[in-house]
Amino acid sequence: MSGWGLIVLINQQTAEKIIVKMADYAVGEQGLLLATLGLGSCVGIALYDSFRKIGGLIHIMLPENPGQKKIVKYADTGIPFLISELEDMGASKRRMTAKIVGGAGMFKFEGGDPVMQIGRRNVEAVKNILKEENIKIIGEDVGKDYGRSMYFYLDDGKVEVKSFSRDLLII
Amino acid sequence: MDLKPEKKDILKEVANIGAGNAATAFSEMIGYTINMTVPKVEILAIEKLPCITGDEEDYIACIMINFEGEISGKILLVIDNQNVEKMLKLIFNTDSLPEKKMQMSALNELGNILSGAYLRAINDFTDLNLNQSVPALAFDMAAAVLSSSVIDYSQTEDYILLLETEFIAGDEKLEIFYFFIPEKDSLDILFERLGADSVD
Repeated sequence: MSGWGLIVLINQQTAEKIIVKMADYAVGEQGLLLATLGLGSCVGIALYDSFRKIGGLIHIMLPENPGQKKIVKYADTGIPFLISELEDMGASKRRMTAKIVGGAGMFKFEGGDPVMQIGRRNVEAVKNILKEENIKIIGEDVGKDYGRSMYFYLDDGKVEVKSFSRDLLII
Repeated sequence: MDLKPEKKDILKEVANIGAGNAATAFSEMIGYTINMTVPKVEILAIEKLPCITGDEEDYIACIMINFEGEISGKILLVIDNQNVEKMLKLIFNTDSLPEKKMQMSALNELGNILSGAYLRAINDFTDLNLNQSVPALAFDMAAAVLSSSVIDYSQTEDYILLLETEFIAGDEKLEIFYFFIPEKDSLDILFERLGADSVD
């Protein structure tokens, strides 16, 4: 067995993993792996301060909170909430970068027309909000017509995107 | 969202009649005896839907049919990857799978037949007029598919009501999950029609 392969294996085994459910979030520091499984029209947003090695992952379902609803379910209330959670941990907003994944159109009619446009609206909303917050998107895998799982390593901010129809993507 | 046991029983009855009729139609389509489980009525947090048929990353096929009229909602047929192959072989009565386009067509047809039979039974029982949409299909990770299927309800709702039945085809142990998801406002209409609106 090559030494390199062994190192990778050990890294994966020792990284403590937190699974972020739909309409939920998690934050953490170096050594942690944040994952969210099966993003369809939902969008996963990974925010990272590479200097402090602090990051957070949120799995939003919809663009706009109609008011009085669960904060982390919607992009417009969830992203600012995640930013402030990270700041509370000592991350700096001006050092934060973003990677976004998801926003697909999963259902199609016979003949190939997509059914719902909610995925696209989610991606637009997420991009607008990050722009307003002055956070640069440095990696993305969004849209199209397939589901994705997202693995966010807080050691270096790397994000792996797994899907059935594509090879593993690293952003 | 909460339901009195009396109302749950009424919904179980609705599901039983609908699914019974769908099972008969399914059986006629593939020429095998179809058994069904006793329908379950569940109020489910939308966040839990991705795991309702198994793991988030299981590969599934899902046929989605919207219905509207006096009440509206969705019907979802969920089949895991292995069972899709088994079922297509039964439908086409062959050991090799036909091309993808034919597979999609067959699944659409299955969706039409099962939801049509289910809705007709509900129509006979309640006298509510219902129309069904053209089926839409998705093949992918369970969580990605299931979360996207009800995304339009989740804008204002945190819970959905599910009437759930499983169909099992003959010796093949072919399992299909069948979900009937009425819109929240439609529930009141359904209860009113069935004389259960006074149950509180």
